Amino acid sequence: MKLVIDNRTVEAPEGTTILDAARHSGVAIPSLCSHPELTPYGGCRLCIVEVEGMRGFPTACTTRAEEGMTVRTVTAEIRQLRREVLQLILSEHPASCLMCEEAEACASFQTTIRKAGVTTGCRTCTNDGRCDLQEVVESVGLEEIAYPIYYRNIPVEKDDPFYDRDYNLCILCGRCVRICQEVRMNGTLAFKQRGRRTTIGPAFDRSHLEAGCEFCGACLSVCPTGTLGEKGRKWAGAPDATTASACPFCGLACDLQILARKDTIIGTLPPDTGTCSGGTLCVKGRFCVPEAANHPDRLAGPAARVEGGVLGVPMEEAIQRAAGLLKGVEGGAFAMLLSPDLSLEDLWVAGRFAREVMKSDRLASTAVEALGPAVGPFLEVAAGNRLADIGESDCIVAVGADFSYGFSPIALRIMAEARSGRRYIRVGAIEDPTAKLARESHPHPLAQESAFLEHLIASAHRPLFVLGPDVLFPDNAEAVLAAVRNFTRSGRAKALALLPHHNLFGLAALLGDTLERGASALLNDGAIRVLYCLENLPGGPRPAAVSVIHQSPFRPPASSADLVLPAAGMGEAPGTVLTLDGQPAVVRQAVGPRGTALPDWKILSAIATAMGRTDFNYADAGEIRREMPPSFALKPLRSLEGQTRGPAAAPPANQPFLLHRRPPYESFRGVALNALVPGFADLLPSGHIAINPGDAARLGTTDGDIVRVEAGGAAAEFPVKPSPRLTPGTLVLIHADPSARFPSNPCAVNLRRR
Amino acid sequence: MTDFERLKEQSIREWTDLTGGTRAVITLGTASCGRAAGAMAVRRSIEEALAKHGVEARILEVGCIGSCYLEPMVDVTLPGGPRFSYGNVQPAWAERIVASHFLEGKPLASKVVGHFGRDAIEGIPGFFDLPMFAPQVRIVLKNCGFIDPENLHHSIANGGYAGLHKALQKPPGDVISEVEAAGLRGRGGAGFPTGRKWRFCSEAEGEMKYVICNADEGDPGAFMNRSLIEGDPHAVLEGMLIAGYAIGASRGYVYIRAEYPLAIERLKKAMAQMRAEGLLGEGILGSPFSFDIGIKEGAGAFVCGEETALIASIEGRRGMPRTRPPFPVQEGLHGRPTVINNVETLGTLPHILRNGAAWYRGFGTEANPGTKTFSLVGKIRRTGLIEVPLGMPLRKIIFDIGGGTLKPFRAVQTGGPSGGCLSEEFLDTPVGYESLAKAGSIMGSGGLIVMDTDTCVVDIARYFLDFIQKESCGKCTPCRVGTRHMVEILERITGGEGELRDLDKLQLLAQTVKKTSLCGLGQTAPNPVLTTLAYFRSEYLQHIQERYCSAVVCRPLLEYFIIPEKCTGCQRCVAACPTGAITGPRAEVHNLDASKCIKCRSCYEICRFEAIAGNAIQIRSGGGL
Repeated sequence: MKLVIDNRTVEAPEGTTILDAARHSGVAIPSLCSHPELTPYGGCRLCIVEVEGMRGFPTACTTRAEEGMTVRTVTAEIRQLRREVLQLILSEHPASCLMCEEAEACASFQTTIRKAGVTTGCRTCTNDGRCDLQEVVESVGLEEIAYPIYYRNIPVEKDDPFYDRDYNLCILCGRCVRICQEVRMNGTLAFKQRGRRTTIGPAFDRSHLEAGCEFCGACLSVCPTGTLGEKGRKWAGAPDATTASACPFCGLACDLQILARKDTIIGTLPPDTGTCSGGTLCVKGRFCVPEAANHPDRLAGPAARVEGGVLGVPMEEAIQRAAGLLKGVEGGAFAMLLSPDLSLEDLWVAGRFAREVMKSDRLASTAVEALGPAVGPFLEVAAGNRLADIGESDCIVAVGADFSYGFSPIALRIMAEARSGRRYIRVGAIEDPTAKLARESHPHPLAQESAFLEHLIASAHRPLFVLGPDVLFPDNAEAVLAAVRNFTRSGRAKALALLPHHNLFGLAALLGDTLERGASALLNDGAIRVLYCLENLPGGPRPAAVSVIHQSPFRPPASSADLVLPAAGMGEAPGTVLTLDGQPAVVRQAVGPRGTALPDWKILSAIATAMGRTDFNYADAGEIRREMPPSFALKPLRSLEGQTRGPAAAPPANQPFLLHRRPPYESFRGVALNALVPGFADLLPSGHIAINPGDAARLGTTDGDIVRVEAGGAAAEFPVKPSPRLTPGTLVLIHADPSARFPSNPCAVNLRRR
Repeated sequence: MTDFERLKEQSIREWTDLTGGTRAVITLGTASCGRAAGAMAVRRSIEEALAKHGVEARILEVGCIGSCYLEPMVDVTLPGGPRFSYGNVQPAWAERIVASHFLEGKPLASKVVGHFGRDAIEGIPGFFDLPMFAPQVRIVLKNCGFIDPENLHHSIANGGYAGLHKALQKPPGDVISEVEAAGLRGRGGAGFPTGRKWRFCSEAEGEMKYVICNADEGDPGAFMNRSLIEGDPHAVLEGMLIAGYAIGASRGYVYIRAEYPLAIERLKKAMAQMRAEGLLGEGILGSPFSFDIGIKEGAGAFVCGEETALIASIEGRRGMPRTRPPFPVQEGLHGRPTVINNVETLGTLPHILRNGAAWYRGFGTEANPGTKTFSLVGKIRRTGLIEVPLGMPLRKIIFDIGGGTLKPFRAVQTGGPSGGCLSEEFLDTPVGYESLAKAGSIMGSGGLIVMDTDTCVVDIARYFLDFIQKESCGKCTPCRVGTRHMVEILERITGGEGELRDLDKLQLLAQTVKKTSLCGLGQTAPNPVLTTLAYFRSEYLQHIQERYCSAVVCRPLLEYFIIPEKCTGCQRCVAACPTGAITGPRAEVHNLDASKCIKCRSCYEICRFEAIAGNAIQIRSGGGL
């Protein structure tokens, strides 16, 4: 298709807009509300053009380019109208700095106070220099604003986690609303009010948390102004380096860009182009990386327990001390705790270290153990994972999958399928953002699991079960998984198991056959002399081992370690992981390791070398990778023999709530994410009873009130957290010790206000 | 005999039984205008009067006949006699009216305003010969004020559904041709040829198509659609069926503002009756044509009258316009081809189908055939709902039908907030889409607001713009921000703080808003300002340069003072003044302290009506006085 733009004949594919056609041919038309990922809007009115044969001034972003069209993007009248419209936009946006004579000097020398609580101009705006509006003002070339400035004087909204909202800066381009509704299919954001009072936010003055926001940050990514500001990097300034890497927080290992400034991670963004994970991060990938990477508990150097206290030591000395502690310890006297967050390279070297140097195969992981006895069959199902199955099935059944704050790319694919008419069924306790598109929603089956699942897929030809981590924790998890496994074995259905850890697949593939199940048993095993921990131990009494070596990016729990070795954290070392469909994903180094920290494989290699080995002299991660087998097959963790304990079918009348418990499996190197990232604790707090807001109101409780949970003879007290994600009658408790105090999971309980 | 003929026969029997001269009928206008004027209280007193005198009459509640200024209206028809009409009936009159008719056998001469008899009656004018009605041509409003709007049979007996019945005998394409030949243009305001719109929609690809009746009438001072639905809902619903048949739609919606509860109730009743008689649902009137209608109540946003915003609202989204093209006839409700017609357009269709295009072209002009309803309001003697052939000069509408203004005429606003204020020199403009547009206004949906010298046109421009500014959806910059700046400039001018360069600013802003706004709301919002700037520039200049408001409306420009010769010192104003600005001992001329005066008008009112001498307090404008 050919059309003429500003007297030049340009080529454009069918169906593009004039704006796209112009941009592809190098003609810049200013615009603020348009965005390549979003449907045309036509709100800002800056991209007005003249089209021969059309009345008035159509907007380039909403007008389809047509064969033979003649478009003019710059005429005297268009230029004048654009300047007027831009002035109108700026009259609602504190932008006096744009017109200030000292703007440049001010930016360079910061003669004004920067960390102001209220944005009064560009120099006090967190987005200064990264603002589409500033760019447009420059390209249009505005020198003055002929209109008075309206300041909306709306208090800055700071109550929700992760980002602040200063709607005094909003130009109402609607990008955030559209990405929330169109791309994320969430709908938390909408326009409110009308006329001069028009603003943006959840309806009925709810907080974002109450409105079901996933805190995916998509709105921030597209905001052309400083209205939406990431709490974590509001004042960090523009990044000086951007590294394409992978998210460290679950088995999807979504592509993301790590933003760094002065060798410090300041944030993450979705990748520019999208595949499955493109632009679709969840709250963990979007906001949690910098907070976890820069956590105060990060280790900057080694330390050793000495008589009378703990002593910081140089790395070389720490390596020697480690070698000394390990000398003469062999076989069953040595045990190693691995983390499913370690890269394949780290795991490979750790495996070699344990087996070849220490002659021990006592390997375990508390993070894997926390997933419960059903993790074996879960991984067995996961061995058949294929992401493409989502698009190829005619019925998707999600079991135990909570898509609120994780696995967003999967959720978005499922929702896209459901929206185009695919049958989607949910089974689980949580009302997540996909619920509104589900044909049916069911609670977790308490008995007759196989028949129940069979019934759901009765009319489907190519059903797909999507198993979330929450499927692992009910007492009958193994029965549910056995039923799914039977479907997949017989070819009746496919399954996709969502792995909650970064490299759980890699851990199982490399070391699954030797992994011991009872990691916590190692803590009390008197036969072990040295316990080498690559993940944080749970707090509590010191392990029975004579010596404990702690190697992690994070400080160990108090007094549990004899030697502390600082490992590189996320984004600080290159490596490879296996994503949940068995494909390798590359993790790149964005910044240098903190302090004297080293990649885990480097520390282990150094210790091996110090112990006299000569075959641990890897130059880099790539060399380790070359030593590893070229492909990986999953090794079963454990044979499928589950004892199922089915709790009573319906909650009795005096115990009207059904309490589901699960561990805080969102973790990194053994540290729960809600302990690392305060904002994440607002979303999924540990040790709180999450309850439907209506139920909470009926009980007369509000956020933080203590309630007494009674089940049969057992009782315990917890604070409550009303959450719109809970259906009436359902409670969820995230608790580190899932077996604690209640006879079954889920468990019928009664709730009383204390 | 077909289903329809049977239904029609039954309907005519019922109608004749009522009006054939065997029963006494008391007709009561109980549309919203009647109710607001007290019709329900009048009904109660009539019932009491009938009971008291032991006479029987059927009380028939009808819609508004058009002379809203005469509400509440009560008509009395005795067996064999003509129907006599009473206006502004107070409950206290009921007994005398009933006694006069039923006991004395003659109308109450002192109160009767007209009769509907075929022959002349001495001393009582024919109702339709009254000056307000003589120039009118009633097509759409034909049944309003005559039939019980809640009775389907009344409608059918008076021609209802005959147009549909005729249409169903033709291929849909012929129905469209008929409407095209009639030259009917959209009565919502833009005047797009209805037939052509249908043609586009019928040619658009898609199995599922929709008809939407736009009853989101929101212009201040406009009530044509409400009156029509309240007076003859079946005309509108029949029009929807015809439109649905013509374009191949099987589903329709009435998008009506929730502020019209009576109209909504009557639509719902009408639809239930239609369904019972096979006029709605599967196989209408035994034909293969199936059609169903849903009612969607608007939540009170003016912009939802804009068709793309209306569609968004029906779909459950925020009522916010989008750019056209694609037009709704291509991609409308749920992305499917959709025809959106105004209430009056739909109400006209049955008449065109029944009587033919040539008949319809017999009214109006070549380019603007047919009739148009207007709600005639403002500073005019006879307010109400009128229907005139297009091409009638504004002067005839305002002075003959409306009876003119009490004080000298100043301006007429056509087309609501999107229209313009026209001055006296435009009074001979024939009413038509092009002629009004040429004058800088628009036809609009039919609001005609007449202003006399008591109305300040600058204030009117401010009022309309403020309305638009508050109703802007906020989506596009010029409409949201531009109108706001315009309102503030106008507020400065009416507040006595205007500067001459404000007029240039206004003009520039008006052009920007007009040329760059997304939808019709913004594109036409500056019209009241542009027309008043063009035709009443001297008033703007008076406000700015002389701080003078000739209409004595703009409060900051006013000054209150006491005429010493007239003041008797009765102290009524002293008591009324909320700020203590007026002082003075009894029986001496009072003193008004301008620095304390907040211009609340309390003293002025009390002096005019209650003070001993009266009119001793005057309001004037103009700083020099």
